[in-house]
Amino acid sequence: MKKGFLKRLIAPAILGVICLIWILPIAYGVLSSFKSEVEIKDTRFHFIPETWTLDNYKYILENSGNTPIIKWFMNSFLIAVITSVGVALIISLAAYGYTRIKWEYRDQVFYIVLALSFFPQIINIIPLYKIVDTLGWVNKMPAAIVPALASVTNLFLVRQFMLGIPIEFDEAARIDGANDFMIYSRVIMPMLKPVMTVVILFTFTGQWNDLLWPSIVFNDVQKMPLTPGLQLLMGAYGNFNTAPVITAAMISIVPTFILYLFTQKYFLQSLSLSSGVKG
Amino acid sequence: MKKRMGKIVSSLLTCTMALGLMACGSSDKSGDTSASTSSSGGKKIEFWNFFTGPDGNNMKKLIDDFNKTNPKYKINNITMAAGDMYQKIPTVVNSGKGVPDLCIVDVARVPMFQSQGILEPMDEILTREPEIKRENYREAVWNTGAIDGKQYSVPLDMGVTGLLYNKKLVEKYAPNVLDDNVVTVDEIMDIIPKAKADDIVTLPVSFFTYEMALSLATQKGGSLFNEDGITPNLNSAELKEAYQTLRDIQEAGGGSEDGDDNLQLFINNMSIFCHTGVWDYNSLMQAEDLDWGMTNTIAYSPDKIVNVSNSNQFVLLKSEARTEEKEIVIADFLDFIRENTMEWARSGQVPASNSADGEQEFQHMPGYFFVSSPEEQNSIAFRSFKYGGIVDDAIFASQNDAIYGSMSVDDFLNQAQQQSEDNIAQQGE
Amino acid sequence: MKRKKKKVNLTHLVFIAPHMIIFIVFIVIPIFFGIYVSFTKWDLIGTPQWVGLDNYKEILFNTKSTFNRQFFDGLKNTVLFVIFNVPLCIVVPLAFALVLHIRPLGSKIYQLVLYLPTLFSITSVGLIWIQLLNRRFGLASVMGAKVQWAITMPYAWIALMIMTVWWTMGSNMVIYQAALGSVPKEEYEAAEMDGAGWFTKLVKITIPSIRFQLLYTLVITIAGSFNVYGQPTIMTRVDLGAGPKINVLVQYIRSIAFGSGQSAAGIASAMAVILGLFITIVSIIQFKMIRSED
Repeated sequence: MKKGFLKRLIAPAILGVICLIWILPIAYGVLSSFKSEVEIKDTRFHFIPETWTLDNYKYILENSGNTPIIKWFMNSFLIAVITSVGVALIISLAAYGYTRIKWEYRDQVFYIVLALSFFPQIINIIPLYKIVDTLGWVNKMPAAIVPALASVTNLFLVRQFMLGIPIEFDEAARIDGANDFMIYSRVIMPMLKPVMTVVILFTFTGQWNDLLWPSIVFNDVQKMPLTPGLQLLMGAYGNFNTAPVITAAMISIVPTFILYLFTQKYFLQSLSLSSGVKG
Repeated sequence: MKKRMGKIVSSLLTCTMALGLMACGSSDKSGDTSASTSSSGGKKIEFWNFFTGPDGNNMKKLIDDFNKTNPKYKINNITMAAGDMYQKIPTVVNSGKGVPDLCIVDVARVPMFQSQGILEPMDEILTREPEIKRENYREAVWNTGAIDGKQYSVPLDMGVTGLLYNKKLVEKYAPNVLDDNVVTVDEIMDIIPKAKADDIVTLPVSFFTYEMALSLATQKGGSLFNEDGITPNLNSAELKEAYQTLRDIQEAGGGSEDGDDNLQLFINNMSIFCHTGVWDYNSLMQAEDLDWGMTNTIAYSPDKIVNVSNSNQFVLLKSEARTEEKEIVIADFLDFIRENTMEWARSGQVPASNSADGEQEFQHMPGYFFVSSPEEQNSIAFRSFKYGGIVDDAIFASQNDAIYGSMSVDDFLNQAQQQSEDNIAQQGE
Repeated sequence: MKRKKKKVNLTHLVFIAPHMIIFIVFIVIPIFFGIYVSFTKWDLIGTPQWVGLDNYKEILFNTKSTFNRQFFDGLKNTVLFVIFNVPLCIVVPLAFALVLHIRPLGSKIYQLVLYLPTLFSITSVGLIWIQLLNRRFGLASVMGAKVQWAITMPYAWIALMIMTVWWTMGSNMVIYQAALGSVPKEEYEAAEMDGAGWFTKLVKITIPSIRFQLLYTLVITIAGSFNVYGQPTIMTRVDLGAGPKINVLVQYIRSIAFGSGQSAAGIASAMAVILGLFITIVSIIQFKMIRSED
């Protein structure tokens, strides 16, 4: 069968070649983390390390008072998890309100929200810091968590997916006597498993990798999350040691990597939408 | 299935919310944002600096040693990247909370901060610790903190830039060039053809170009600003000549390619000279198979030598949270640094305090060269102007283009002058 | 009758309120503050000084002004970036998503590899690419590069595009994958029974079925590309003191607001506002275009 041939041979072959090239930079990064600094800066190009060394990992994972790696990991983890759950909840509620309920000016309000979110956020940090400070959140987790809950890109994303769900489902449930909240939680949300997984994945990764805002808002070495913390390993005049920085990058990617492995199957599920209508 | 999902979701929610509240709760220990924010409690002095690399270890040792003397307040060492710190300062100053008690800034920023009114004079500190005075420091760097008759900063060090030389390559291509302790421009031009034939770089002009250009211009009497210190003078004849000289070196084949890592070239014995700062000391010491030394910046003639330097300085940002008690401890700390400055010298920087000058260890370090005689000390020049930062940015915008020939030196400096004027105009009344 | 209507009004508020409150406090207020600053002269420290439309006039009309030069150079490079980047970041991930949707052998591994770059932070990505592209020490040297790609035109653009697509296409790909999974199988089966080939199925069923998500990726990718800052900065900053060769608008805005010297926050804000308006207008056009196709 033609499809089988494509599936088993041609597509994998092409994809395989592409992926080999695709992963080159990352492979280089991983291998570099096992090289000594001298080797990385050497005049000749090294792909595979001549001498494998664990020094870089030792240097970074040395959980000292000034670079408490474990604390940073924990902080990042908490921030990312709480934000992800918060976003999933708040955004899905809002998306429902912008798609499933008819009210005056509904779409206009949404578009205004969307348009405002496109404004470059640069000078923002000055008033934002002041607001966060007024709330007493400087150096504390809510500063990193709450502003991120306003994520309009995720709102837009979930809204788009919700638009794709036929209205018949709502109507069928309403006939059965369901109110809006019940339709939201029992009908719509289960169908959105794929996109909600994506939202969680994106939010978690975004929070995990965020550098600028956390470095502004956290002063205390003990309180800060991982990404700004790892910045401290870089030298003042830009004369940083490349090896630790690359190694740090490799270490930071582990949690998001694991998250991706877990969530992979959820956003790939083929849902048969017709199954719900019969009832 | 749906019910289970619901249950799982809600229990997950509750768990994480609880965790979140716990996290918020534990960090809430100190309601007073001015004092300690660290989990170990106790009274702290928040000290911001950007010593995040190897020199961070030297500062950390100094701080630890000071804290061991059991002062009333312990110094809390908060390091961050320089760019981050300079972005944070306006944010905290604006909100009035979270201002550090003590802060390190580059000397180039001191006049700007002072004119913006965010620095407190050091009067209390100086009265408390009378040994912190001009006589115990290098005069030139001490004076950079004196503005309008008051002292606004205490210098920590001098980050002098000079010329690195590779002993083996100098032997090979220019055996006697260092007899007078300086390499002149003419000598450089002589070396270039010989080195180029072997694919060896003579002097990468794309590295610390600004410092070299400033040195050359100052040698001829030029300056970034007019006498008033406020009007930029970037398209002056001296500065033009300076950049043209550097470009000539590049075009004669003495420089490296655009984008090369110049320090790496030097470390790998592929460049005879390299202009950089004393802070690279630790990187250079780690290099295997490199025999090197450091001397004065290149000059038009041996009679006039200028070594451009930056400097890390202690300042007091205006803060309501800094009590008199804290100021007393800060004064003690600064005096401690002054006396124990040898530890900081180990980072490679040239200490501003002269307390280590008698120590053998320091005398064997390359940085010592720049304070080994009064002539040498006088050759050190600093940049501290009110609008210095604006000028720096204007120069950096197209400096490389001018060096590598994609823009003429005239155009480059005219554009930099225009940019400086426009930015300064934005600051006017 | 009237009572029922009032009930509906309240309900929608309950749903959108949590988000709206956070949005107003943390996004809208700072933006309005930024708009206010754009009408002032301010160094981020003292009190802002009202100057009305002066900043806008200087940026848009004063051809001698540095800010005018920087704005238009930045805008030009930004628009170029958008034009190059958006088609690549829409088509490439869509192609991958479609192929992966067939579930070829080993698809789980392939999609992992393809998505992997997206998990890295920009600093890590930039660092790795700078090393690779280094003419003397990097992969580029092995491949015989004669110039430093990262900072020579036109190679700099090519390098920037390759790195950007490599790093960012994963997100759009994942969205497409999720979208494709929601297309009912029944529609394909019905079409196959009618004798439709793969191309017809693609154009008549697949694309229309995921049009909502396509609109999303289009709008967000464009807005994101206009706001690009990380990639050009990291890519072209190969040496201390070397100015980047590709300056996008956001880089200029940042350097004006947070440079080494006194900040010209008013000018920076004005540029940001103009850019924001620009993006909004472009987005409106997109929405209208997609709407008319519906």
